[in-house]
Amino acid sequence: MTGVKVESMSQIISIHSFRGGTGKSNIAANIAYQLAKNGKRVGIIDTDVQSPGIHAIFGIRAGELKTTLNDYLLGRTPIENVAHSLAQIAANDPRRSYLHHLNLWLIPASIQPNEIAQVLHQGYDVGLLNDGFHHLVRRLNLDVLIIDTHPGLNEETLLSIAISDALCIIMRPDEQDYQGTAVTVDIARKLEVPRMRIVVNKLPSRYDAALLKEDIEKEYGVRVAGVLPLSEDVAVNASADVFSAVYPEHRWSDTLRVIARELTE
Amino acid sequence: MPSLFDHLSAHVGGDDPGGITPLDIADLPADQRQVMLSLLREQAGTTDGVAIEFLNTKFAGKITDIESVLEHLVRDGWLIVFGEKPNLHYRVNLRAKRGSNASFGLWSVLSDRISKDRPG
Repeated sequence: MTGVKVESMSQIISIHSFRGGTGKSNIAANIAYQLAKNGKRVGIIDTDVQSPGIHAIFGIRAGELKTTLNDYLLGRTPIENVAHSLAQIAANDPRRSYLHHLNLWLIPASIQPNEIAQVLHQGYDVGLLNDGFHHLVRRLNLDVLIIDTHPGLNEETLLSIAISDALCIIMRPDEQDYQGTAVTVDIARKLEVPRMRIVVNKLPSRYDAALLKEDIEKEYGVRVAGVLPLSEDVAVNASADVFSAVYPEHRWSDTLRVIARELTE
Repeated sequence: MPSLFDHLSAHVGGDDPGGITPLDIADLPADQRQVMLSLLREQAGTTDGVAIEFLNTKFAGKITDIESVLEHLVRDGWLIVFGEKPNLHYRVNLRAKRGSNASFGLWSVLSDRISKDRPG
């Protein structure tokens, strides 16, 4: 059947960090963009319902999108109705022309306080979230579904890890991150994730990236997909744009492309 | 992830919602864990679950008595079974995420205040 993808050929990739502030969502958005730019059909879903934010990186303002993951989790609408084509959203915005013509869909979580509260207050069927992931892959004919998880370990994060073909753990060169990453690696092994990679982010310039990579790989027994430098340029961008789209020649963007390739190999 | 307190209070209060969490799956014996993870990954967005033929094929030569493993998981309440032999389908019974005990009214008030304070 032409144009119908066999689901098992698609990949689900979870982007996770044990602690907040690692740059997880920024990296997730940039990976999604790079994969879509390389011709893949990509969905990116914000499962961080407590503190969502990935929509901002694609230039979307709070409240701009009428339907969100929260609507799906609360049983108000099918999952496909909360997937928004970023090419369509950015169609009339020359500043976001890098999104034009891409097969890239965003499934945002709501930024409205009452919507966040409602999900937290009522809880939801975690099985529904799993069904939603698989349904999205089939309905949108996706090559890759990227799941931006809530930091730490909770039910939806563990579910995302359990069903993923690849898990990307983001960490900073920080003692709290080292210990938290060890916990995540241990659980991911128990959940038999087929492919696991670590990304080190915000590495100060005085560190030796190659040496650190070697140490981490030895310590955790997990391949390091890339070491991203602590960059003032990325900080100044302030999650207002997809950095590697706006600054494709930047060193940070070079490493990001390597990471995107590593995750889908 | 439910805390120890959540588990205890659920048992004491008799309102255990049932089902399994991904963390519980990680702690299952190897055969059961592999079956559960496979079902989670293959669930494919349908409510019908995964057919036993698929599991028989997937675990042939790896798990000696797949039917016994499935029966065990159903008995424990970790799997929901549909249909009749020989056309059985299985689906993971994931534990629903509990709601917070915090007052919802507090959030509503906060939301209203934010809306009023927002410019424009």
